[in-house]
Amino acid sequence: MPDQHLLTAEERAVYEWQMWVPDFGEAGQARLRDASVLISRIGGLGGVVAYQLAAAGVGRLVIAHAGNVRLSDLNRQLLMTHDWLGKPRIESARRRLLDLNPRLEIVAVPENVTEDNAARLVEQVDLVVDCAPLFQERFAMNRQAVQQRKPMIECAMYELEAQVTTLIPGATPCLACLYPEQPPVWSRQFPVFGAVSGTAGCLAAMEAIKVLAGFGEPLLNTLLTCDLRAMTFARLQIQKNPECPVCRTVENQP
Amino acid sequence: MRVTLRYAAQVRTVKGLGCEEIELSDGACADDAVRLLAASGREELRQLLLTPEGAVQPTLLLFLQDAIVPRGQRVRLSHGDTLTIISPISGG
Repeated sequence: MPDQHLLTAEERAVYEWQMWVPDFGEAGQARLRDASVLISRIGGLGGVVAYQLAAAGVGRLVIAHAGNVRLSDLNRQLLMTHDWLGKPRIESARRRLLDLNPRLEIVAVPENVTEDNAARLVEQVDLVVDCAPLFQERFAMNRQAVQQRKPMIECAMYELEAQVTTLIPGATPCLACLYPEQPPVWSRQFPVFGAVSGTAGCLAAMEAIKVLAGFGEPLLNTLLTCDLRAMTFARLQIQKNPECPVCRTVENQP
Repeated sequence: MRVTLRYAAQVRTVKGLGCEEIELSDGACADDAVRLLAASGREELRQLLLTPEGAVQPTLLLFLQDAIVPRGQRVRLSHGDTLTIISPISGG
């Protein structure tokens, strides 16, 4: 029997429809409210993750993204607005998220994730959602997520394809198990429709919600691939690399 | 034997198609299929699939049916198998 005092009357009114999900309920909603999530870059993918988590009632978001809004952001980066061209992306995102959910606590960091700031960013949260467009940012966050034993939702897109998996240190592979080194051919610019990055973002947000609230079946040891050109979806089984220098070291700790 | 190759991400873009059947010698393994594919296309495809030394790119994800092919292991293919080849993506 859930504690009827977990949520305020306003929270109960806002989240009523999702609390009808039988294995979520008010207890699940309270877990989301008490949770914190780091989203690395809030562009086409991360912006949708942030928006969905703000809508779902996650209590605290740490969002990290450098740079100013450009015209070429606006086909997919739904937290950026035309009237904010030339101004910091992170501020546009903060405003849009608070417009949706004024109860939300936001830590807005006008930086991309690096080796220098990854530890500080990851230690502030319960869970990480990795939406960065460069592998060096993803690797920096992966190392910290593993070291600090934080779950990380790994999501990415390219052209009309999307991928999502949920990485739990000790229970699943880490990102370095899948990619042991910097891929030689990836570049920051890639073909993208907003509907594709948005699809990946919604899937990743749902994974985060399930892990934080403790219900459903997250994509553990499973890479979900989505081909939106043909509308085919596959669940591919992935596994730890026993030689992985990142997560093997951590697993050896008591 | 005949094996179906499925392509994703940049491999698919460079190949210009999502899947095809190829003929392989009996006893061929997943890496052999990748090398044959690399030899069939342009230099751009070769760079996606192989290192300059000719080894399979360590960041390439290979799946036999629905299970990942562990890196460095010689996993033999059988007639009728499907091998999925995914180059790494991080679009956000």
